[in-house]
Amino acid sequence: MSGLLTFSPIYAGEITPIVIAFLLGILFGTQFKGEISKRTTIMLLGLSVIAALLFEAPLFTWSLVGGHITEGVGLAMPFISAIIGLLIGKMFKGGK
Amino acid sequence: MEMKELRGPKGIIAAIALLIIAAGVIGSFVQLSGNITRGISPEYNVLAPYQAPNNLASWVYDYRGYDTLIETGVIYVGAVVSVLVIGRGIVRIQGIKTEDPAPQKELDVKPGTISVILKYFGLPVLMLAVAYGLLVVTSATTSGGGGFQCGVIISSAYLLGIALYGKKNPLQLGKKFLIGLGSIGWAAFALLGLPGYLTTGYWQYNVGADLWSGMSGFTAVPEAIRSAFGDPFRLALVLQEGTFESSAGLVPLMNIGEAFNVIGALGLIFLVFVYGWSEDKEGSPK
Repeated sequence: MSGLLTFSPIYAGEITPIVIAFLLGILFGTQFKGEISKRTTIMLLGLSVIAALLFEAPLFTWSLVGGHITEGVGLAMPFISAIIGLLIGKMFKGGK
Repeated sequence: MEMKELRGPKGIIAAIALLIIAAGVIGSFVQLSGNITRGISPEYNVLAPYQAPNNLASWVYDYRGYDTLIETGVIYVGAVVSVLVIGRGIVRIQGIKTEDPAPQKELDVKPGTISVILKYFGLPVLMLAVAYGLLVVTSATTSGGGGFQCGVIISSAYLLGIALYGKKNPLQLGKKFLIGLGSIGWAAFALLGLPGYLTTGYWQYNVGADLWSGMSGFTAVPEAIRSAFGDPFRLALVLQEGTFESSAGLVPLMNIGEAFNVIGALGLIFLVFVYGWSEDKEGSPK
């Protein structure tokens, strides 16, 4: 395992998916109607972090967080950015 | 069909057709000995990891990307046919006289009848499902994701919203949005072949990954175009053998196009099945 987690530069390939997920999140967020309370928003963000931990970043990538908090832990960052994008998109058009 | 019907001219024609087919099949088996062309698949297997860590993405969207493009089109055609058959709205617009469409009962679930858990957790679950779909499409080249899976997940979220809330579905994918999404997706997938065609003469050649530039007689992709499509998806594969660079190039963009197309097509099918096609304003539920 240690051999997999040596330092390597972050390439754009690890950041671009995060940006794309965020933008697509905004696009689909505009299609959501109805209101979301602050509590639900916080719950969504919390669940997205848990989900990102469960889905993980691919092991062969450096990943933004993988291996730097603790060895073998990686966050699927596009999931979190997609949720943030959805919430922002919903604010744009779909209501509070 | 009974054997009696094969007597006479029909039987003679059938026998001749069978003889021709049999001769063709047997002839092809004879020609097989020593003449099997292995193609370029072994070389591609060696090169594909330099394009995407998920080898399957390289195969489906690069090696046979043109085939995937047409498959994607088939889904959209299926959606259009569903609208024509079930909705009948388009037929009526064109002035074709036909019997009145059968009255369709819209799915209407009263929120009061669903459980408290579904009522309050429905919307967050839909948002998480959509986010999962977006994760799947953005991870198409690095994990087992893909555009088609993303499309199925998001359109399933849409169906789940319909099942939970009926007409008050919080995920309101309207007609225009779905048609636009599907059209943009298919067009984007098709047009992504243009950079490869203009630079190398091969439609849908992956200019970002540029796997075959070293081959003799192959026109080199200009550095600017290779960087423009390749750098945004460049990864460092940190393995025990060393660090390798790879870039999926056009494959992630094709996956997004495919996802759009599938969401548009499946969403349209669900919309027409549940609400029917009507010519009123945006958003089908009356």
